[in-house]
Amino acid sequence: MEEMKGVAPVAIAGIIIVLVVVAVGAWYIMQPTEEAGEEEEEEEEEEELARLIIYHFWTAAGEVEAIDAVLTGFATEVPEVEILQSPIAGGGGQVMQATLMSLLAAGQNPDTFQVMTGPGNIEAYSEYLAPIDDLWEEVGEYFPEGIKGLCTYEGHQYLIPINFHTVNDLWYNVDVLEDAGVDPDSIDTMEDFYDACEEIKDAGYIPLSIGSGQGQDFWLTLMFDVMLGGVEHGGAGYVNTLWTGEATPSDDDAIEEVLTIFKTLLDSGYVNSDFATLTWDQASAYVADGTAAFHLMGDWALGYFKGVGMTAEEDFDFIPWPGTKNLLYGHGDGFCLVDGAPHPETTMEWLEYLASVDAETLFNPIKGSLPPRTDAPITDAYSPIQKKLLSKSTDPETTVLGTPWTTTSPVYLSVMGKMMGAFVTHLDIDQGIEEYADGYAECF
Amino acid sequence: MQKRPIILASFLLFGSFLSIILIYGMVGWDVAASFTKWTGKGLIGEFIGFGNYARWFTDGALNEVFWNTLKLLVIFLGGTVLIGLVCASLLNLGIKGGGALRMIYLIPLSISFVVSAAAWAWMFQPQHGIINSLLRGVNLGFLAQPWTASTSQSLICVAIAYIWQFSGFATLIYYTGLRSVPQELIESAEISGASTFQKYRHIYWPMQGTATISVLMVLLIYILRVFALPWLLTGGGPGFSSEVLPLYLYRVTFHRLYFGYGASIGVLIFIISIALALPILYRTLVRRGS
Repeated sequence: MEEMKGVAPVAIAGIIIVLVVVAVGAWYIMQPTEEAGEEEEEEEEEEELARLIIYHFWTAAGEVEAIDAVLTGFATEVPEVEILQSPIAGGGGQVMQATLMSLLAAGQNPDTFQVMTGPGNIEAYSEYLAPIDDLWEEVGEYFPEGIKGLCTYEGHQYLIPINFHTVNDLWYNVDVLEDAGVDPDSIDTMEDFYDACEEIKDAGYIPLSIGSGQGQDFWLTLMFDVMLGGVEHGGAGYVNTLWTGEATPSDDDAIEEVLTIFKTLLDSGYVNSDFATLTWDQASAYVADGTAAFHLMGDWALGYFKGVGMTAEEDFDFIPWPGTKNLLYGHGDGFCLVDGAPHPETTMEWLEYLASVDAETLFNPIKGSLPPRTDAPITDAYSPIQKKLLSKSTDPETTVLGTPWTTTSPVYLSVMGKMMGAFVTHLDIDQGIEEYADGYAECF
Repeated sequence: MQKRPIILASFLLFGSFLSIILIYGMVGWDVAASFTKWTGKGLIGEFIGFGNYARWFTDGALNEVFWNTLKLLVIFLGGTVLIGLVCASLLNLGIKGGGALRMIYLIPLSISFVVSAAAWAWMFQPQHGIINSLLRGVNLGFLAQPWTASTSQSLICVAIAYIWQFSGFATLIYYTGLRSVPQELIESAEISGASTFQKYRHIYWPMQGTATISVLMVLLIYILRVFALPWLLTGGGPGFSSEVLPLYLYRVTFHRLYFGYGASIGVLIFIISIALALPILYRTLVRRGS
């Protein structure tokens, strides 16, 4: 006890010292980082080092090569730039979003990062981005109005788009359909599709392959949204009302029609029984290896099929989802300028380059997407399937629609994904409509 | 040491203050954030009182996730304790190669959850997984289950993977507990002609209270913050059938950017932990006191 008494004042002094140190440290850390950032910038300018700190979520086969090609192109154009790229895999960018939110909140700004086009997606980052209206003044005339709209939030442009992906593509294995005696071009309506499924099932194949497992329920949402365009009470007009938050899903027949399609497909055994355990590419693999016939997926599946050694049109091909012949659903990716970017000049050079025909022509053939610029040439680097999609996109009869991924906030994917994930387990239409309406109320 | 109280004190204080800031400070921050409408921008959001807490009672998903967490807790704790006790008792019987078996039981614990999640995902795969393939191979195909593809089984799959991973730990603790039973008791029981089962039933097992508390505490603390296995094995699905609170917290916070609501779910987990741990702690402390 004697010793304890000796220690007590020392302990109190120690506590005070540590408290002071911690308080000063905390105060220092909480200070806005602008000053520190400026100092760093000055130092770097002295060293004449131009850098570009870039984050994106392209990590799969086809994606890596595509972004590398563009970055190499940029490095050739502006050779003195050192590019620091940080690809972050996972969840359609959801993992990168979590990482970026922490970095941005902590003031550790990158220069630029990948953002899916659409006001909702820009909104998630809005406080951290700087508008690039001036650049759009220069390049705006080369992009369609619709694309410009997808890069705009509250009247300002924040993104330069690099690609456009279509999603209402029903991919199929050519050999499987031949073996089952199904002519894909004869499938126009859902009835045709059900008939085809029956024939394919009788021939011993899985008619439709789905992969919505391991947290990827959102593919069900994507299918749901595509189907909305094709059902009797759906279509482009309805979809536009729905995704601007002006619909009342609990009364709308279109929602019921789509849920019924899911129910029919699952109840009739047209879908692989393990769909709730597979990722989208594992579901594509069923089509690739001839286990399944169809797979409804965005055109990034093209990159997958090519990647596993299949030849477009010979081994695999696509038809639009029944009822969406005149629709082109899609979304794209763009890059932004971070407000308080450590290297704003380099970043502007990067965005200017990204808006060029060169960058789009390097990127899109590899990625499997379409170039957003109207004057981008259709070179032989594009696959025949991309050419088909491109000619469709310029067809005056085609209505181009942004997917809800582009019009709504990131909440949509998570909420509606989980809603559909639950629906396919109970398949109760009335309960499904109710759950959809609840989810809809949360998203809009 | 007595000569250098300042050095000793500063080391102790520095450590404890770090933990106060990093643990209690962050808990405090979480509680503060749970009263705000925060979307992850800035350090904290706008004060909205009990709004996030009121939302607990209207959020159907949270309700399901809450019960899932408790279900997983019961299945996991029950399964692990039972298997641990049985394995430890068998080891205690003096099986040949018991030392090697103890090592083998512990190996699962040393495997990364990412690896075990991938392995279990392959095993549970309904179409090509080894469990269903084996069943079909020996003409027991009718026993094949949809496993992770079904809402009624996905949570059980997660529990099985966790029980597999942690029962070695429980075995080890129980084995130590069984070894510490005084030999005289066993000998006197043997003289009275007790069978092996009677020895366990009346002497060994009733004396495992302390070991059980140790096992339960560790497992409880662990299972309330599970993440890796369900996230990678089932992603919380199908639907919300295998979603547990930490997964939902992450989903709400980082996918939907409701940081405030996510913080309130953090508080919920905190409350559950305290509610479950207090009785156990109380019992331990009372015992020590007496």
